[in-house]
Amino acid sequence: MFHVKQALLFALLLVAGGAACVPLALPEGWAGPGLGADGLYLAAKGGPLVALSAVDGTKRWRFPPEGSDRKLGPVYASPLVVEGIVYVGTYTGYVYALEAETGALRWQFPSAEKPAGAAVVASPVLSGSRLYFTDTNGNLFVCDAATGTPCAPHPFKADDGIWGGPTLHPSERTVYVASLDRHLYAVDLDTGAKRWAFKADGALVGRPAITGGVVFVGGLDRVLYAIHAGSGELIWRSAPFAGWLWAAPLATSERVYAADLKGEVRAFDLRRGEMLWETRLDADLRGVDRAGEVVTTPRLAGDLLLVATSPGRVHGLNPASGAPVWAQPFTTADGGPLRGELAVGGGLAFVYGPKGTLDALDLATGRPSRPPVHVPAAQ
Amino acid sequence: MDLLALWTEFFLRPMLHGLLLLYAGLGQNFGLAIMAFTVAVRLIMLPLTLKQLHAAKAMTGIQPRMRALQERHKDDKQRLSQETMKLYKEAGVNPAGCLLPTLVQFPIWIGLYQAILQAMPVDASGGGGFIPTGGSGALVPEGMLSLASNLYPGLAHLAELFPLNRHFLWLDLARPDPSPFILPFLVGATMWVQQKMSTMPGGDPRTESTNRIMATTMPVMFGFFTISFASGLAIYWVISNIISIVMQYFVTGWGSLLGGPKPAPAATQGDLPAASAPAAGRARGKESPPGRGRQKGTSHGRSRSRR
Repeated sequence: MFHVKQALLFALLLVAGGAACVPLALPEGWAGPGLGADGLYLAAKGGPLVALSAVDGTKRWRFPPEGSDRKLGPVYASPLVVEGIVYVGTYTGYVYALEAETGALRWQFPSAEKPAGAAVVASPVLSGSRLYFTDTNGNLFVCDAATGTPCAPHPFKADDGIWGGPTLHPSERTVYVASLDRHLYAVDLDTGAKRWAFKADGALVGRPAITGGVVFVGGLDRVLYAIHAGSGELIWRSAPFAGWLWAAPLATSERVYAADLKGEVRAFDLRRGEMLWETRLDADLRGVDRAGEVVTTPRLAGDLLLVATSPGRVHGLNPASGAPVWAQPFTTADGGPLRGELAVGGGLAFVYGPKGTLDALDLATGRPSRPPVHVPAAQ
Repeated sequence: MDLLALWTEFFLRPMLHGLLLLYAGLGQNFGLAIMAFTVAVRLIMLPLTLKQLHAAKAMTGIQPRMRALQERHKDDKQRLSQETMKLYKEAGVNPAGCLLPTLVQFPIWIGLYQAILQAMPVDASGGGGFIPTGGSGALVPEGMLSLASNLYPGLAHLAELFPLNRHFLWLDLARPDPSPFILPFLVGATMWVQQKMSTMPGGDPRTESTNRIMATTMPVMFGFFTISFASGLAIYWVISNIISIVMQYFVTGWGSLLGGPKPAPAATQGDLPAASAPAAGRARGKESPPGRGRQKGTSHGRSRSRR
């Protein structure tokens, strides 16, 4: 018998059931490969971190090791490989320093006896003997790269999370960080004191880029800002893009390149802010989920501007005109979305797909130079 | 276009934008936006809700006659079916009238729920993927990208609102109530009141017993859920329950909340005129308490028991 009460209870249960079908926001990570002198370092989805031979792709070690209770967790940023040490930050709130040769743990931050910190989304940056990294609580940490010991008692703290990581300007003893609190901060490299803050109209996600005394940063307000590195004054701002500016801009001595989540790529004159060219990626992929979405920073490789889009496609563009030189053939085989940074070296672009396939693309043709290596995400 | 894309296009995205526009218009207060949006959605659904409540009330009114029919034709299912349909026709009752409006409302409720989660894509990795519990509460990059893909190009300026201000009163709307009992109590209490009000007299004892159990267990269960739910969703539940209580009051009064009438007796078909069927005053030879729990718009007819 129908009854209002049963109907309402049924409704409540169905809502709860429907809610169960909601794709909740679960962090999975999308780190690209880190390229070192002796190999590639990949954070598979959900861990572990795997070291591969750059020559033939054979596995050298993994972290955490087999049988370990430790879990790496989601990793969003490519590992940083410098002078035989691999630095990797995790969404579970740790930064690890590992020996590139063996995978042995040198140190972790916070140390084992302390609780995990907030999520680390961006790659750390090394300057001299100091390692700089940020977290989603808005902290900018500075620690000794050899030991992981904090160099300052209190880190600089923004009012909201920092997802883009720090950008250093060692000659000016300044580090720049962009925050979801809509501010670009210039922080004294030695003391951690704030020098200036520039307020944008939207949250700032990507890492700032700096060249020639100008800092560039884009945000969710779809605008690319050019800020005077010394004073924090606005030099110019772009017309709004079609989508959010998530990926960090790429700045060279003459131009700055920026790409948005809708596939718009633009090149600007560094000083005047004049737009030099504009192109739209994945325009041919009508109806494909996340076509044109650019999450990774564009890369310059010789005469090519490399831009990866989420459907799993790498575009090689002419940096002077924006004209396509090649586009990696689109395939859904790897499942997408491709959001990890590209690693470039030895005439190859290394692309690590979300289902664990590492491709090495020949920069001359955009074609795979050898069969892909499969690095499964199994923990 | 697959089913998920249709759902996203016609339910999730409009609701998400409605929520965001309210957020922008209410001083970037997401708690107020959830409340206002819940009220707005319930007002839009008001005709359906009223239809459902009236249909339920009418169904309750013919319960004694239904039970009489069931007694009389318990060995002849076909005849029972015919007589039941005849009774529905006589009383002008459509049995689907209770359930259909509720079914129509399901997608809207689910869409609202999803819109709230979508606007606050925080880490819920500790909850097993179904219930937004555990996790760090930090924004999840994948969730933010999903949000970006669901914004209308024409309303791209809404992106300047992100990340949303999650603080409302003492709450972080993406996290459970830190108290941690105020919201669970409010959800449980408002649901209990609503359940009690919607319990109509006149059912058979087994149904009455089931209703009593459900009226207790459901609020407890949802109150328990609220301990680990994002408090923004709990606010939605509380406001939604309060609106239901108000609507229920204007259609059926306090129902069983203030000690409603005893279950009505079974009656023979010929004994009860259709107009006097609801909530018969004499229950199996016992007098019902005079002047107690009288339902709005219903009359207390007298009937003889089958004995």
